[in-house]
Amino acid sequence: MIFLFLLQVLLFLAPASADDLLKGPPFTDPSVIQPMPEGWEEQPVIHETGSRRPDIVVTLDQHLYPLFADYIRKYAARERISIEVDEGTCGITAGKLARKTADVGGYCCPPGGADRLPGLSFHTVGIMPVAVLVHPDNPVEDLDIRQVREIFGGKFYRWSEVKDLGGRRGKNIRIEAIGRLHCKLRPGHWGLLLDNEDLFSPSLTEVGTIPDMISLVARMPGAIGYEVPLMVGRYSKQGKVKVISLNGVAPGAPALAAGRYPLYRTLNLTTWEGKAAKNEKAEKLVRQLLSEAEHLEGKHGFVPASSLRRKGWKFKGDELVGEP
Amino acid sequence: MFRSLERISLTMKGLLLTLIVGTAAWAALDYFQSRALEGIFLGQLEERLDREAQEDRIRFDSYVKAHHESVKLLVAQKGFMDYVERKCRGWKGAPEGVVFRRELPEWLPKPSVLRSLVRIRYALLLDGKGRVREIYQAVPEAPPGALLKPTKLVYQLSHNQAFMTEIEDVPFLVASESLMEQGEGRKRRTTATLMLASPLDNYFLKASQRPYHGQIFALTFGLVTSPRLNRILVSTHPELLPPGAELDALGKKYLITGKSFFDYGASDLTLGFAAFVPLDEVDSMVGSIISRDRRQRAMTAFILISAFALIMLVITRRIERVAASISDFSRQALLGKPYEDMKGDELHILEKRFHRLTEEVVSSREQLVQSEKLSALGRLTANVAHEIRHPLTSIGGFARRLNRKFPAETVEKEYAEIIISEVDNLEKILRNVLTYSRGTALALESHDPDGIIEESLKIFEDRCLEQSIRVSRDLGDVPEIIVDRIQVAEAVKNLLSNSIDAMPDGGTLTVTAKEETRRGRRYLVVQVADTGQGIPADKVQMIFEPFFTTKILGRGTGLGLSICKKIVEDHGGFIRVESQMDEGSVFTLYLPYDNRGNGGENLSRPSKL
Repeated sequence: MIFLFLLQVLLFLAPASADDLLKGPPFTDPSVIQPMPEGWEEQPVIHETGSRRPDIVVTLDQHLYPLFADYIRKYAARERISIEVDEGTCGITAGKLARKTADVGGYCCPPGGADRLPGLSFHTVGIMPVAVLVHPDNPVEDLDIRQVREIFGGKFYRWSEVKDLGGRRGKNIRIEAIGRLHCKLRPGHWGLLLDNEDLFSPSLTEVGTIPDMISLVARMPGAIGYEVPLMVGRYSKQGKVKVISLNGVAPGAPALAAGRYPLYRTLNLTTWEGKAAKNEKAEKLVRQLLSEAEHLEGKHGFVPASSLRRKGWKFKGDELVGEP
Repeated sequence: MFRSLERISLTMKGLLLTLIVGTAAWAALDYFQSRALEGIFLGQLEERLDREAQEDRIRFDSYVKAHHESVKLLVAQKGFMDYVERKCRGWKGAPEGVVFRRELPEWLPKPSVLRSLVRIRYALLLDGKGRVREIYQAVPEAPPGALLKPTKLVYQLSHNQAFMTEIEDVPFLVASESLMEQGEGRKRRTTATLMLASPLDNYFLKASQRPYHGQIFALTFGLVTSPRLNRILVSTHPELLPPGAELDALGKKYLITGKSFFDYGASDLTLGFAAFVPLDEVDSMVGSIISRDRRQRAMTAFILISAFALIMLVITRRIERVAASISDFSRQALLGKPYEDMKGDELHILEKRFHRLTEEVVSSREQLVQSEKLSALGRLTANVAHEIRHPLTSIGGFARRLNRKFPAETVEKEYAEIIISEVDNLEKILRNVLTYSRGTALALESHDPDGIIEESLKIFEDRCLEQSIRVSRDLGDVPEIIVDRIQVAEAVKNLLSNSIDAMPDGGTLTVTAKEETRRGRRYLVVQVADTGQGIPADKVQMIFEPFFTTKILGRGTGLGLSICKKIVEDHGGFIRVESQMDEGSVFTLYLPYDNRGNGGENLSRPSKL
């Protein structure tokens, strides 16, 4: 009897467990800090701004920049301080922080092991959904996450082979999976789809930039890709793409906050602790940005940290470290 | 036609001319420039397409060659060698049989590595004897049966190179590499062979260009095949270039460029490469460039024509102003007649006015000379008249005294009366001569024109009755005018006297007064019309000359109308006459209400004789 019960439980859990095996970890352990050479922590932040002497240097990735750049400039004018804001990527942010040339860093991913530098604090701004994109002529409107993983894993060759498309028939055209496998050392983002690059199909077409992703999906009738709605809008000139729902859920803020939408990216800001690198003006700015983020709720599916806390997402200090 | 053109304004004429010449020049330029542009564009397009096609061909070529490079790498990887070593013993003596795999087998590297190599369609693992043992198929379709038993020739030709061949009528690319037994020397045996096989289809073509094929000008590539490289084998856009389509037929719809053979050293197919651009797309591009050029030309032409029209307008206005100045100068300085409406364009009017001005200047100069002569004569006459007047007054006085002394009806008395009458007549002539020749100062005051006319008419009432002349008045309600009453009355009287003289057998004397505006100036117009015998046309021009008269000798001094003209002109006005023989004459005085323009001058200007 007990054996039968255990078998039933195993059978019930089996598919979910197999599915979870494909999904990568959403966050890293915040207690594991990257070891750095002796004396590194005592080094101050030195701005690489030439003759300019800004009060704060901020380096934001390409997702945070459009959200906050204007606000930061207005804030600087209001506070009568000089702030230099640069746009980049997570990699560029990580590089500047490792060289200690920026007071505030902005990531569009949860920190990887190498990002957790001694004295660096992460403050989660919020999360935004990663939408699955197809060509506008593709009749597919919805897929479940398992199907998406199988498609990107190369299980299906043609759209017509994908079953259960919500009553629709897939076209008899080749699936062209487009992937942007960036930030491989950081958890989350595309890792929530498939844990690592070897789980993606050998025929996956890799692109290096967001506009290329939008452009290829818009151009290839059999294409499938992924990107945050914020960027789909920003690069709409690259072509028209269709955002499909996952498990019947559109990539929006309420579903994401409730944990019903599985793909998302985490937006973090960083500040320095410790006497040598600490910048109180930078800390004040980050507080303001976290507060400003509250006003962005729902925009492009964005969910601010405060809403995540209310929905049971796990935090350590300011940093999001676990799903609900 | 030409007369009609003359009437059109200079601006319009210039505009019309510009439009006609411009349109003709435009049409000619458009014809030649459009063709030149089209030629240049098509040349550049073909050059660019050729370059694009060359780049695509190089990419395709590299992709083909990458197959045998990839297969060497795959065979050299440790995973492959370990697998073969494990399986090798099992294959010996085992019956022939092929294991088909859709999942990535362990003898191939991880997907992340495979993605950097060529896109594998079929990977065949052959044992040492060349028998296919395992097949990885990246596509759901099973490989053609012939591929499961590759011939010795395919096996050999696909080593160290990519080999293009037909397998079951499907063109394939095959590349293979063998794993040899460890050791040295030529007699090492083959332990296994890896063979990559890909059908040469549109996916292969697209994969060779991955992922950015056909970006520029919607290039379409086609692989063309034997026997004469004249049919499409495969294309990136099969919906436009379906397999089997003939190149000759496609040439009518597409610009075909970059045609070339492939030469890989091993191919039993005749293959070539070509790029296609839809001709309607080319036409549309050419059309777009030409139309943009046309728009620019039209804009330039519009600006030039507008500028020309504006310049013409400015010039025309200046010409009009010069013509108006000539007219004013003629009227005011040379006292010429107002210019009648001249027909023709501004330049033509200017020309006419200039000619008339030169005539008037010449005439004025002659008049001036004559005037100077007359002036001198006038002064002499005035002096003589003045000198004669005193003895004449004495003669007249003595004649009247004698007349009173002579008894009635005597010859002496009759002679005395004749002397008195002649002296009166002479005195009248002298008075008129002095009036005409002396400089006069006008006593200007505001007067009722009707009063002046009525007063003048009253003097002639008896004469009119005597001569059965009916007097008709139309004096209306005319505003007061600032004039020298005595002078103007004198002028009116002169006209009335002349008109009465012109109707010895009766008639109608019509006197009218009215206000009229001519060329923006208000005038008092006094008209005296008779129904007399009229003035001969050849004499009308001379009637205002001093001492000219049409009356019988002794009835007039010949100074009445001259004095009349002088008085009117001294007031800044002018006099006009119209006459028809046997119908009568009409004299019209124009006295300006505002005579500041020349009135001031006239007040002190010496009279001309």
